[in-house]
Amino acid sequence: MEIELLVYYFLFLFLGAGLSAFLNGYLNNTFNLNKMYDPVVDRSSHKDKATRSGGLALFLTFCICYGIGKALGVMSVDLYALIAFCFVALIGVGDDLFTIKYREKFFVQVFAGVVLLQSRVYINNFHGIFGIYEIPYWASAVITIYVFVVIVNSLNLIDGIDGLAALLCVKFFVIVGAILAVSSKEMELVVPSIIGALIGFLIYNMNPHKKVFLGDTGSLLLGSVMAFYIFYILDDRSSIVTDSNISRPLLAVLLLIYPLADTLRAFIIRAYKKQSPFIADRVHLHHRLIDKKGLNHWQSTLTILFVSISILVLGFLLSSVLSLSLVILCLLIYMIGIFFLIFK
Amino acid sequence: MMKKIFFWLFLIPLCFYNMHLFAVEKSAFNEASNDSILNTVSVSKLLESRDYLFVENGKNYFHVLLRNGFLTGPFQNNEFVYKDYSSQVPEEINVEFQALIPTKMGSDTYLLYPGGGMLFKFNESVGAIKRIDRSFAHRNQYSGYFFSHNKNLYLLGGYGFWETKSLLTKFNFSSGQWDYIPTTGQAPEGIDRGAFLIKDDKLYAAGFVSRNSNNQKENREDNLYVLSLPTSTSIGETVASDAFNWEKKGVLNPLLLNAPITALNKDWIYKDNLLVNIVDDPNLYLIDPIENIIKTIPNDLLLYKSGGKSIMKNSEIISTVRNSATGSVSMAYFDINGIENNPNISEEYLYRSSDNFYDFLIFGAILLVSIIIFLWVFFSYSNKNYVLIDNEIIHAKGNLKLSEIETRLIALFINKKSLANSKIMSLFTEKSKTKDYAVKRKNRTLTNLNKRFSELYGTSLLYNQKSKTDSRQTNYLLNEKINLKRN
Repeated sequence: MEIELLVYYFLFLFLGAGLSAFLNGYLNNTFNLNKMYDPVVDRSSHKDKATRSGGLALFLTFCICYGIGKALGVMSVDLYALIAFCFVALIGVGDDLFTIKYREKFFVQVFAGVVLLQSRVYINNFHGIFGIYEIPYWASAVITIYVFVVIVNSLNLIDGIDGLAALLCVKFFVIVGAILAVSSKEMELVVPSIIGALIGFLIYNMNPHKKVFLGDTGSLLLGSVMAFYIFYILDDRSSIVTDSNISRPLLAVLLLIYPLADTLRAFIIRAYKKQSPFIADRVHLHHRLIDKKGLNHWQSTLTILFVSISILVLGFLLSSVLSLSLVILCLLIYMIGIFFLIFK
Repeated sequence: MMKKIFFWLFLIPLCFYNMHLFAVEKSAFNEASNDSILNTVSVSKLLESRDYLFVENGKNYFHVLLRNGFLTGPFQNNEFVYKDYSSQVPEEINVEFQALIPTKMGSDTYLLYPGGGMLFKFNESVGAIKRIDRSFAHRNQYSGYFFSHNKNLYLLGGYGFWETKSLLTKFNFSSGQWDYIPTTGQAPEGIDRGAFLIKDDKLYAAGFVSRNSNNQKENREDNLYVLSLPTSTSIGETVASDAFNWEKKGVLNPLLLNAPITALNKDWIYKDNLLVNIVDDPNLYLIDPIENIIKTIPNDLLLYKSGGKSIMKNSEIISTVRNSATGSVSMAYFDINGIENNPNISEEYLYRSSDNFYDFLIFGAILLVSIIIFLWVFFSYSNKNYVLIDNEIIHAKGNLKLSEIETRLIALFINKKSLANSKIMSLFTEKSKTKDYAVKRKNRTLTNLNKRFSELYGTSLLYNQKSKTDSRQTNYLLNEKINLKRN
């Protein structure tokens, strides 16, 4: 690694962490003074006072880090992508401060997806999945918006216990950061800023005395940034260094394995119970670890983090020796085994 | 009869209209009789036909191949010697000379017909261009890279019949045919245009495009590829099956990726490295793939003014420049000697490979583990902290509601690890009640608080101990694992 890059990496990592820690503390105090606490309900995993100010702190941290990076000429993200992130963050802020109906949130998410499409980074190729490669633009647009909404909401849904969403995001950005470090000079420093911001947030998220949650602002914002990088990986115009090791769609799914698998499982259970798939309950895998296995938040978060890393590593290693269908089969068997071993 | 009259009526004005063109070419060629020495003005007139091609010669000279003869120079005062070809140019060269792809092997220059197949040899000593192949113009490899290596001629990739190819063919001097050379490794999908450099028996290829055969959409290849070439020098010697092995080195620096797709079309070999000029970019890029370095060199050479194919001779780029006002063409020399000493040069990596990816991944993994360890240590420490807020003790394991007297009792232990019984008793003593009542109330409160605390947090809050200085006095000590704070 070049020294200059390493210096910038640490600069943005510490800048993100410092700013985020300061903003989280400041906003937590402000929210507390105004008695803007997250309500404790039956399905809540917390019993103490907490504020939903984490997302707003993250958003402000991103903005400041990006502004500094842009001014230094070392960071650049497509303007349309930034506008889409802002839309999603603002609807999150609205939902955290007031209450916004799901239908309205969904509309803004679709709109943000349409804006994101203008960045010319989208899913334009299936890379051989179902024997399909390049797809027409209209299909690209529909699929991209659909995947965007799925990713954004799946991250929102797993944000149920302390540190889980944030640490899974750190894992995601570590791998995406390594990919971007090889293929996209202008976006590589976005990653340490985000990781730094998440570290600053985690200090408060797991602090019982000044508890801060991501809220909708944080989960929707992180979800949309993650969705953008997933599109970057799936866009056939971007050169991805892992192409000779692993299929791009498989890599994209493995990067988001826990949010996707948990959301899919929760939807199936709710459909089986003839409930709305969007109803809030405690059927998520992380709830099982707490309710049935008696683990605390930190233990549950670490368990899920290591399981998702192990699935990713296994998929990466198997892809070098087996065909795609066999890799998927092996991973399914492994995931079922893990479910019965840890979550059942 | 009428037709003939109309024909002559049409032809005569046309000849008058174009008289200046005939005049220029005629006068130029009149001057250019065999072995005549031509000055710069006369050479420029010859070049106006546009049907010329620069090819290399010895160290100091180069040739300009024309339709009927060739120029050699420059000698004193930029003069050139003109010679007629000893035999007529093959009629198969039915395209402009600029369209031919030259490559030098030994003292001979080989000229490839566009699209591949037909091959011609320009022999300087004989002064003739001869066709040497028994192939045909197959038109399958337009824009392929024609190169020589170890006394062999190769043609790599190209576009033809709605497809880009990455195939490698070698000219067989015995049969006059082009033989297919199988390659191994990570070959690119197709190679159309691009920039190439041969160094240490390796061919470095970058900046090329491939096209989708269905919709002809161009895909720019962002990676640097390397094709290993055989080190054998004897003609006809069999080479190992994996002698031609492709390797995908890694993603090119965005400095090159941001260039337009067709931009890497002006490149020269300069001091064993590749010098690239990108359209609409004021900089020159000097690429050393072995050292993985790209140098950005600001230049004021105005290379964009040059047109057509150019060659690098010593440290000069030789090209032609057309005067947009008069249309006249003149030979231009762009001296790049010492450009690498420019103080404003910036140096960056040329490509990042999978090695860099794994480096970053290891770095990221260490970062992730560090975050987990940091959080673990941080929360192990913060787990000791029990914060008193209003009438509640706040902790990660849950909140404990306190009565008013319990809150006052707990408040006494903030920033204190030990308290004398008498201090605690002061909380319970009431003037209207007996001391015995106060003692009982204190004991009941402490027992109740300790019990509830222990049930919720799994550890006791306070315990009593006799004073070391006065055995009649009891002290109440806060559990050492507990750090009480007030918010």
